[in-house]
Amino acid sequence: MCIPNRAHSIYCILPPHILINIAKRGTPEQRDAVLETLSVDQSLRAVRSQFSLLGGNKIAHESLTGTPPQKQRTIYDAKTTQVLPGTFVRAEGQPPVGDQAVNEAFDGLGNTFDFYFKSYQRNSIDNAGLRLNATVHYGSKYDNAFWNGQEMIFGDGDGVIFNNFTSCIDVIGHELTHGVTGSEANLVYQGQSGALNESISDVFGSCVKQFVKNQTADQADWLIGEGLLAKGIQGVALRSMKAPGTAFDDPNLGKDDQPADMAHYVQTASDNGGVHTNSGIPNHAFYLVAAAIGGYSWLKAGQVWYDTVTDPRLKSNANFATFANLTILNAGRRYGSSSPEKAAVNNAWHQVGVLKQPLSVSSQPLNPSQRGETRPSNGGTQPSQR
Amino acid sequence: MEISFARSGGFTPATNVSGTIHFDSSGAHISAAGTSYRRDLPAEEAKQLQDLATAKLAQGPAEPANSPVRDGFQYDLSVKTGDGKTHKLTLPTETQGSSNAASNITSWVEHEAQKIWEHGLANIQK
Ligand SMILES: [Zn+2]
Repeated sequence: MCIPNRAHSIYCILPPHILINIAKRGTPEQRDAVLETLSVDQSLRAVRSQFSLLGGNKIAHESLTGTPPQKQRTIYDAKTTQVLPGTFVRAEGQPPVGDQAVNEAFDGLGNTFDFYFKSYQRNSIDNAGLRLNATVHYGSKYDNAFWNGQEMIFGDGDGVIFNNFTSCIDVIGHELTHGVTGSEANLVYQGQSGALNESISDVFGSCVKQFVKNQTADQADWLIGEGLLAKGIQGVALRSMKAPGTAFDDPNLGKDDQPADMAHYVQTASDNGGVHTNSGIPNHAFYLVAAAIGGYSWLKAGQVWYDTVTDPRLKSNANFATFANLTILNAGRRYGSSSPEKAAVNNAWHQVGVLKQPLSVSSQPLNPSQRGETRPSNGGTQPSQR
Repeated sequence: MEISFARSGGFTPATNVSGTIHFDSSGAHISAAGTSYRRDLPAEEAKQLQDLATAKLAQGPAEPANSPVRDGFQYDLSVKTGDGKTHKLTLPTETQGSSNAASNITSWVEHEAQKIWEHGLANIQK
């Protein structure tokens, strides 16, 4: 709803397509006024997003017509087999069942759906209301959760090292985000683009958790999989975005090997080129941005990342540097070329070593060398060998 | 022939396992470095495994990056053939699980890797 006494209240009564035309073709003052008007009304935020991301985001029909999109969740039970999707156990509109994993998956998918729509007006994985399917109790002592291109699948954990994978909202947000990334840039799951794919899932998985817990950046734990390690395992989580490499150090599990910067980039053939390892670098960059901006991380830092994930200029083989430069461009487009938000994004990528010095160019156009575009596509600044 | 296999990746860190299969006239013997895991394969299963590995090598390398699976385990295979050559390949990611391990080397490796992993878990419990 529009606020009556605002200076630009005339824009409140204009239909969305005219607002977009004003924003596209009007004076800078008219443009700012339109964007401000759009920003105060939740029902118009989709239009604002459509304008802001012209040439970028796809906006679902439901968002533009004002009809809230409806979640369509279905949970299946594999009953410790590896046959998918398993036995149907709960659908949208049905009450909780007696199985905690089923209800956790159901609620986690709902929370993630709500997060994406309320934060970025995104209607499900494909932004067109795709049904959300998940299978729980997959396999026996199965220490994993994954996205298979069609649905989310959760193991029960072994009970010795890992607990049930549905117990962490950020894990559910992580897996659903793989679907989002797959429907947008579809970053190749190998090397740096694969690590970006992983990091984007950690970023929005953490944002979903912060959104549900109503935490600001300084209140959040920035852990991925907090509570997933079984009792007795020495560690707090699987990964730390605030301090990569410190999440666990246990005789049975080993030590968290995530790097926090490019100087410690890990070259390996395992895990699709270390996609779950080197994701620590962009993970830490996001943390630095969110911490520098302050407030709720999904509102500004998350928005910049979301704008970038949905930016058509983000190609499937993007490396860290090209992703970093797109986040800087999107921060400038959304918050202004001299904004502290853009400076925070620029500084973070320099701090983790993805972009090269100097740090003082935050409000200046970057040349290709400064943008890191002259680097090999899959290499770090000083990659270490493993 | 000697076959080595390794599991890596997955959403969680440090769930990697690896194993080696040595073949001789009595069958085959599986071991996992750094663990007490040992398993002997009867001659029939050993022959079947050799046939599956030979067939997989004949197919050539897969393209795992094209798989839609994210956070799935990665399974790598290394086969040393009688001519002394070593052939390495990454097995295509399974999306449907693997009830028929005997007909598919990816499924066989997935099952064996999980056995090695659970062997380690049992030792922790002790
Ligand atoms: Zn992932």
